[in-house]
Amino acid sequence: MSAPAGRKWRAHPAVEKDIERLGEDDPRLKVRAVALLDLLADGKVAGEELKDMAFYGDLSDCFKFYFGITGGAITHRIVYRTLADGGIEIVEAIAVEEREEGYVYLLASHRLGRLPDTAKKAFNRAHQKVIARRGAIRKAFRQRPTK
Amino acid sequence: MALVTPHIMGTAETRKKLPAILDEFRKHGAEAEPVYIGSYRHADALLIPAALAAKIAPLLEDVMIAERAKARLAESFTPVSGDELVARLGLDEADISAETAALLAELNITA
Repeated sequence: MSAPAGRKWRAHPAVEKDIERLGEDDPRLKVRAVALLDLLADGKVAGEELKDMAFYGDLSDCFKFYFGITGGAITHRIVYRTLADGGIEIVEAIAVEEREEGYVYLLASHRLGRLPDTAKKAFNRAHQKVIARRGAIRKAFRQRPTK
Repeated sequence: MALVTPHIMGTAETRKKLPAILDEFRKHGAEAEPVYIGSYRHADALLIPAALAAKIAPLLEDVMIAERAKARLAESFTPVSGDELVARLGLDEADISAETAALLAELNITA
């Protein structure tokens, strides 16, 4: 089935990889993130407003929405903002990441070019940690016993 | 702008002279001389009359708004449309519709 034109949301180019990665954890999470963006853009659900956070940077024009898989824990966060595009309000996804340790806020702030200098070290540390963890998960997956 | 290096008061001196400083502020309002506070010729803080603070508050607000606007203008990325992203991810519209229905049910929202 082809995608219907006219979705009222758009995303930072790196969000594609964010959502792609969700599929590595659980293929349904990938679909869920897109479904959630559709609902946010349709105004069926709304996230919680973020603030100008001294550590993470100014995300006061952004919102967060938690999600996870049905019956499971709330494991992920979408950070998005709403913009006026030719008179139409449009949702723009900035980052979709794990809920853990506020990494998603650092990532969103970095992608918007608002990461304070004081948080750059913390961002690099958190980023390396996330990459290492993902690498370990992939390695464990490759080395899983096969029948 | 004063070309003369301002006198920097230490904390002990400030504590001692605070009533006199406040008297000056009351007497001269926004025109009273600001007081630099710090140590070893390094100013850490500036004490100004409340009347002067009220005058410069809108200017400070403008500076803060300008900095925020500058940061937002520096955002340089080309967003991907939702339709394009869904196509790139190779997701099936039927799966998305089913997931949307599941989410609405979970969140107790009528479509």
